Amino acid sequence: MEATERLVNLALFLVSSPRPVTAQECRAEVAGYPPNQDESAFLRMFERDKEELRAAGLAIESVNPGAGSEAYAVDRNSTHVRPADFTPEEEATLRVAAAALAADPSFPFAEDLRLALAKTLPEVDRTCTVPVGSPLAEEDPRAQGALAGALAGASASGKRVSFGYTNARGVSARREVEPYGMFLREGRWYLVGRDSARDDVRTFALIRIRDLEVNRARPKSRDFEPPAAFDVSAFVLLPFQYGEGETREALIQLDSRASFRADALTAGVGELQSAENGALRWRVEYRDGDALVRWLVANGPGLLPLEPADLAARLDAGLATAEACHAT
Amino acid sequence: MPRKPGTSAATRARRLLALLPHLRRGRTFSLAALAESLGAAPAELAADLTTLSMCGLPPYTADVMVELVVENGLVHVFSDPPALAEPARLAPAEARALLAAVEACGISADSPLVTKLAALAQPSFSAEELRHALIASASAGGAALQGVVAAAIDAGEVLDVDYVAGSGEASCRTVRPYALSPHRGSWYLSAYCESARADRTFRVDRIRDARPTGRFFDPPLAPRALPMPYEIDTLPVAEVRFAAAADGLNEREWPGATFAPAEDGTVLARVRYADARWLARRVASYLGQAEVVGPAEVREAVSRLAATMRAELADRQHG
Repeated sequence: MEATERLVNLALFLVSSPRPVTAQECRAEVAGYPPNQDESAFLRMFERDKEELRAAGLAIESVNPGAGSEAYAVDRNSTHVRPADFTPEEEATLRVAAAALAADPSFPFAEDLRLALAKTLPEVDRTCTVPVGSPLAEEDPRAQGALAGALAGASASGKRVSFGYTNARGVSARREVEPYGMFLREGRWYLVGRDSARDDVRTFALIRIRDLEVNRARPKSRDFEPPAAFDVSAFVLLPFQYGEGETREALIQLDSRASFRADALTAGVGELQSAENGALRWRVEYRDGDALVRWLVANGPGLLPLEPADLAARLDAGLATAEACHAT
Repeated sequence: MPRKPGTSAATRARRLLALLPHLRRGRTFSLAALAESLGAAPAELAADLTTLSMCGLPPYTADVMVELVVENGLVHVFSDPPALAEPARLAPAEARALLAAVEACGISADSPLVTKLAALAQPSFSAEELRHALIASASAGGAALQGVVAAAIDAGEVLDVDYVAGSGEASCRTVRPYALSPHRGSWYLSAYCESARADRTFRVDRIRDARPTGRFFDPPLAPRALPMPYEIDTLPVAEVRFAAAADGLNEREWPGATFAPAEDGTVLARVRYADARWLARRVASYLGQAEVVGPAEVREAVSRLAATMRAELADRQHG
C-alpha cells in the first residue's frame, strides 16, 4: 500500500476520533501500516507521518507526553477555520498571485502557495484567466529561487549557513552567516544576517552567492536567535541611502503628479506629511546627495528638493549641464 | 506543468487533503483544471485521486470511503468526505507562501486582504514575525489598484484609468485590460487602449485611479503580457554617450541596451525607446554625465525637460 494512502487514512482517523488515540490504536485501526513491521520501525514511521500531517495543517496534540499512555488528538479549533469572505477584487488578486508566482522559478514557496490557495479559494478548479509574464527576479531566476527557498528555510529554523560571496568590488570570500531575514527589491533577492567573522549584520545579494551550505548538525535545534528587535525592513534602503557619506536629512516635495504614488516611491522609508494643493512633504535620510538628486529626476515628474539648500543647488547645476550639452 | 517523477508521498497526501473539502457529493471537476491548480501532472493527479478513492475510515466499508471515479478527463464525486470536510487552517509554511505572494503582487501589509489571510493560519503563525523576517514586495511599495485591475481582467471589463506616464504626461484612457506582469520591481498592465486604438503597457504604480465601466469585452484568444518597449525591435534606437567617470552608470538600469566602451573611457549605449520624453528623463537624471548623440528629437526632449525642471525649481525657491 502506498504511503500517500496511509497518510490520508491516518489524517481521517485522527480528526474523526472522539477521544485521543495511542500510536498502537492507530497501528491497529488505520489501513496502511505494514503488519510485520518491528516496533521501533513502526514508531519511526508514525513519528514521520505525524510531522507530515502537521505540515499539512493538522494541529495534532499530544496527551500525556512521555508516559506509556501517550495519545494524540487533533485540536479542532486550531485545525479548522471558517472560509474567508473575499471581495471579487481580493479573489482576483489571489488568482493573479497564483498565476504569477506558482510557476515563477524565482519564487521560493511555489508548492506551499498552491496548497494554500487550494485551501483558501472557494473554487479550486477555477484557473486564473489573468495571463502573467516574467519572473519576479529576472537574473537567473531558477538559481535565485532555489537559494531563496533554502535560505528562508534556514532562517525560519535558525540554522547557520556558509557560502562563497563575491562583493560589489569583485572580492570573493567564504562567509559564515546567521540568516535573520530576506527581502526582494527591484527584481533581486537579498539576505540579511550576522556575519560571524565580522560580527556585524550585513546584506547579501543572492545573485552573488555560490555554494550555499546549511548547517546540518542537530537539525531540530536552533543555532541562533535573531535580536528581538530585528526588523528586515530597516535594511531595505533607497539607492541614495548607501555609501560612505554621513547621514543627513532631506525634505522633498511631492506635488500632485507624484503624491498619489507616494507609497511606491518612498517604499515606506522616511516620513510623509500633507501640504497644500494635494502635495506631500517627505522627510528622508540620505548619504549620497548626488544619488538623491539623480533619483528625484529619474522618478519624476513632481519631485523637488526643499532642504537642505545645497541639494537644490546641485540639482540646478546638474540640469544646467544637461541642458547645455543638449543645446541645439 | 510537468513534474519531476519523484513527487513525495507527503506532498501528494497534502494535495489530496487540501482537495478533500471541495469533493462534495454530485460534483464533477475537470481533471486538467484541478491538476493545474495543484501544480501536478494530470496523470499523476489521476493516480492520486484513484488512491484517494481507496481511503476512508475504519472499517473501510463503502459508507465511510471517499467515493469518486476518474474517467475521460473528469472527476466524478459520489459522496461527501467521511471526515475533513471543512477547510483546514494554513500551516505556517503555507501562510508564509500566501502572504509573500500577495505582497509580491503589491498588496500592502495593512490591507484587509492580508488580515483575512492571516486569520486563516494556525495560531502558531505570526504575520508580524513574518513581516520582520521576509519582505517579498516586487515593487518599491504598495500598488493599491492592483485588485481593481486584476478583477477587471478576470471579468473582461473595460476600465477608465487616469495615468501619469514616465514622460510626465497625465491622461485619462479607456482600456481593455488583459495581462499583468512584474518587471524589475514594478508591475505592468498590458491592455488595448481604446483611446489610442493600440496595445499599450502601463506601469501599475503610475495609475492614479482605475474605474470599472460596467462595459465588457471579449478577451483576445491568446492573451499575454506585451513585450517591454526595449524588446520591440521595430522601435527607434537612440545613442547615448556616458562620460568616462559617469557617476553610477549601472548597466542593469538599461535593460536591452548594448554598450560599447570607447578608447577615451566613455561608453556608447544603444537604447530602444517608445517615447522620447521617457528616455529624456532617464538621460537627464545623469545630470550632464550622459549625452544623447541622436536622434535629435531625444536631444531636444532632454533639453526641454532640464529647462522645465529648472524653472520649477526656481519657482519653488521664489514662490
